[in-house]
Amino acid sequence: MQKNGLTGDVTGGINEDLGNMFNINGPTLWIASLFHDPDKSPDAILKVFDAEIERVRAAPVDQATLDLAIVKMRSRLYDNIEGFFGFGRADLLASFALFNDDPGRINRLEDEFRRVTPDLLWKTAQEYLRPTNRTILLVEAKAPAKPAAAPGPEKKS
Amino acid sequence: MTLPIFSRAAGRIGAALLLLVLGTAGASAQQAQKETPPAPGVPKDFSIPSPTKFTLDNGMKVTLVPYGTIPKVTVDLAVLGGDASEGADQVWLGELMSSWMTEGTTTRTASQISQATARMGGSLDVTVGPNSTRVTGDSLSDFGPEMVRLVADVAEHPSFPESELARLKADQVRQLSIAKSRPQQIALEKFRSVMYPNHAYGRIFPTPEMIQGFTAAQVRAYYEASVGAARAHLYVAGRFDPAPMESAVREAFGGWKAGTPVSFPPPPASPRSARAIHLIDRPGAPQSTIILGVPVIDPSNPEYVPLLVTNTLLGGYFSSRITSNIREAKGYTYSPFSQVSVRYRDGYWAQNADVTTNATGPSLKEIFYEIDRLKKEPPSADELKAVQNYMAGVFVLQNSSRAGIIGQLEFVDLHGLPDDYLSGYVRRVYAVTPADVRRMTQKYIQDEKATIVVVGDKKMIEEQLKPYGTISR
Repeated sequence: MQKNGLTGDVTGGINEDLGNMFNINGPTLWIASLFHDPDKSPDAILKVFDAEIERVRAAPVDQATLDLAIVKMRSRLYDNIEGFFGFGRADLLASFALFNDDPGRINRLEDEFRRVTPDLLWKTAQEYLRPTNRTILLVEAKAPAKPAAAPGPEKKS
Repeated sequence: MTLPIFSRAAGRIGAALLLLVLGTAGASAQQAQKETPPAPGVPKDFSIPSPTKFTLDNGMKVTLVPYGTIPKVTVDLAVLGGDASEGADQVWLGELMSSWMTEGTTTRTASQISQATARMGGSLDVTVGPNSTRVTGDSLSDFGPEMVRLVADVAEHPSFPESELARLKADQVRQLSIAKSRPQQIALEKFRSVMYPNHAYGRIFPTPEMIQGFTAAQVRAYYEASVGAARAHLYVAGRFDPAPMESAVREAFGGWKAGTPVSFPPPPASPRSARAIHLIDRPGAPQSTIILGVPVIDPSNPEYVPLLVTNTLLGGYFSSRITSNIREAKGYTYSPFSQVSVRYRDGYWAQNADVTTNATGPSLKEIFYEIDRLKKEPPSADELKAVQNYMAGVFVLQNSSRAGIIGQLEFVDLHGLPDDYLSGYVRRVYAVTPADVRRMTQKYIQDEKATIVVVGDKKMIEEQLKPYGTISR
């Protein structure tokens, strides 16, 4: 997206804005969002999205790519545990107590992620990142209001 | 200097509280009686775990702080200057430089930089503040020294590849148009330009034309003039091995050019605020965005902490007087807040609020009423105690992270505060008396000189505003 000049930044993730990818159990959303210039069409942006998503759906990623994802995951997990003024750890303990009756799962979460294989990731992408499964929301700026649309004569100011 | 309780974090706090409430509801169905929560702990002084400090031959200062239990480390290079170094025709030139710095070094491409960062489980950002430009790396502890080398490379050897410049400028124009679609940003721009005429602190936004006019040569010249070891301070906080970390720092930064020491533009001349209303028309706006403020002291003044306490009580936290009045009692607004906003040798106090259009005048009335009330009579000891407990608790909480610790150390170093500023902060907060709060209000919140900016539907609010000052456009 950046290299194509379509946007400066893409944000998103699993269960973003409601919580994080670790404190959810059940249906949730994977979301990506960005701002684009009016002269860049949503279709051009979706084309780049689709090409990237198709890469993980077409074939299993190599182990090196998966290892990289695990490093990023660990880093985010630690940030979440420490974050939110220290409540992050309590939040995760509470989540695992609620969902699994097992707050100690916080200690095993890293290992659970390490068990993900390229094959599992591939199957997951095929199942969930289907183009037919998604919703696209476009927020467009309104055209500027025309002064002439106001009823009655207007004084010039 | 308060928790960002009105920002995005508020939603998360809300969500977390909701969880707690749901949990309690479930429990109380089974238990007849609710347990009395334990009393809150006694606020403690904040102490930084014994830092290692040293200065390199080129003048760069280094502070290493072992902190926390999480295996991560933050490497933050603060280069003094920032927005204050930009000329009138250079607004956001520093931002353009900062975004260009991560596009490549003399030995790494942009994609090598981002791959290295990802491999370390980290992030690398160059950001610009009012008084400094910061190169900040964050990584798993395994990669601490490597992150130091990456931060050093980006700071010392940016290649500024010309192929990327047009795209980065287009990004800036987009950011500008997003920012200027927001009434709070429009209000801030006006407020700053009135408070700081012909001064870098008064220039928030460039024009799109200014951005388009920036050349590669200008950015390079700006980098040469404003980035160097003599004005830099490296902070490392988190879990790391001290010896390898120190040698990585010495090796990576020892050969950096000293550059020019920083000199900030002198503070703007006083008086720079006079009671007047600056009205910006936003036809059809359902809300009016208000900023009402006066110049105050900066953190180097011994009365800064008493002023912070006064601000918190007046409008700076959820139970503050102005918030209780215009949000809770009157329902004019959802998230009003006041703040003491500081830069090097400069500060202003301001009340911010987005209020319902038909409550624009009444909101000003209540804000002035609360300021005047605090000038006339001191708060009760109980009201002040609640403020002090909040500030002491929040201070320790917000410093309990790598970024929090680094932020506080940078603050102390920028403003040249005494060594006991952080360790004595909680004590100084509690030393403030009700009489002090009244005196601070009288001395500093001089609302008869308030600069008032309102962004809203002019035809709906102009009459409402007239009683509160001359309206200038």
